[in-house]
Amino acid sequence: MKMKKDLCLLGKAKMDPIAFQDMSYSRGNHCWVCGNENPHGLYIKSYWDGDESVCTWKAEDYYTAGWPHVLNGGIISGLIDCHCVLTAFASYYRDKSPQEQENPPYWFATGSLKIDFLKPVAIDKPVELRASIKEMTERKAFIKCSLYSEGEECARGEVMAVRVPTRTGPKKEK
Amino acid sequence: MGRGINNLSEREIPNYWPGICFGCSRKNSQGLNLRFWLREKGCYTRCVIPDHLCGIDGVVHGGIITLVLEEVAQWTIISHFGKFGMTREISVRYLKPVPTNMEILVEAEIVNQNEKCILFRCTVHNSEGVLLTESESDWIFASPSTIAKATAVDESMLREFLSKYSQ
Repeated sequence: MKMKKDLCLLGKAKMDPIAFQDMSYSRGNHCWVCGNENPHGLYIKSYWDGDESVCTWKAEDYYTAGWPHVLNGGIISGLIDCHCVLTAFASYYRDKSPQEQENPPYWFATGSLKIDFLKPVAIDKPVELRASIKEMTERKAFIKCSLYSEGEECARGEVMAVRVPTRTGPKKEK
Repeated sequence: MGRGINNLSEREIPNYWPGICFGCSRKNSQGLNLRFWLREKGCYTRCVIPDHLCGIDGVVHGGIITLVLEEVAQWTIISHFGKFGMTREISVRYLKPVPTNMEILVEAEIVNQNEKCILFRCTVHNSEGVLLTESESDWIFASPSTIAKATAVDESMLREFLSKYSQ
């Protein structure tokens, strides 16, 4: 099964022609937020824009917080989490050979997440996430990310992602 | 004493929220439909997260874990104080994978509070009492007028909702 819904490119020119989620190293990803192969997923798409990664996404109205016009903070956390982890993943494989991208030996998993909620996020407007790598060590990546709504920064996150063997990550397609 | 799921109070917090919150509303068919029970210094939920809300196969997505951690903190504020809270900051440490499709216990405990803000430690344990995730979150108490201004929700509805928890 291969499901791709490019729901997120709403008015933002993509800076790189292929989303991280559509690269060969992301194949078999069932993640609810960033996987192409979860039938109930959010299907975010992340692209390089220079050294930053960018993602634009629009929520369905049932992803509300207690307040009906506001995007749920847990969904915001999930978007930041996945966009950051995929940024670490894409950064690691950016200069790797096609063969290594095709059979990725490593995946990244979230080790810790910190979110500052600055303003309520309107649920009926697309959000834009921008992330960059702060530091990449042998086993860990430290990524920072901001989430914008109508150009205003509404949440700010920091993620520590741990590099793990692929056998603990997404299954490869058969 | 262990943190076993069978070892807790059964005093459920009634949910009068009329909205469609993804975490706790009974009216959100896509949501988690979480239920909450009172504790002396907080509250808890027992829940089973379905397989499709995964990060990697069989493991609950970190964003969903964060959502549930926030829900138990918010419902502690509602049930203990008859007020609303807004998260300023949350830090989450994912210690072990949280399995999908298995019951977990998610608890909020008040660590510190004053008249303006409240600090929580929240945890996720599995059914054997193993700690899987822990978080600290910093909340501010928010008046109905502040919430109404920030979210375009009717203030009288917010006041009516809170009145059911402050009696």
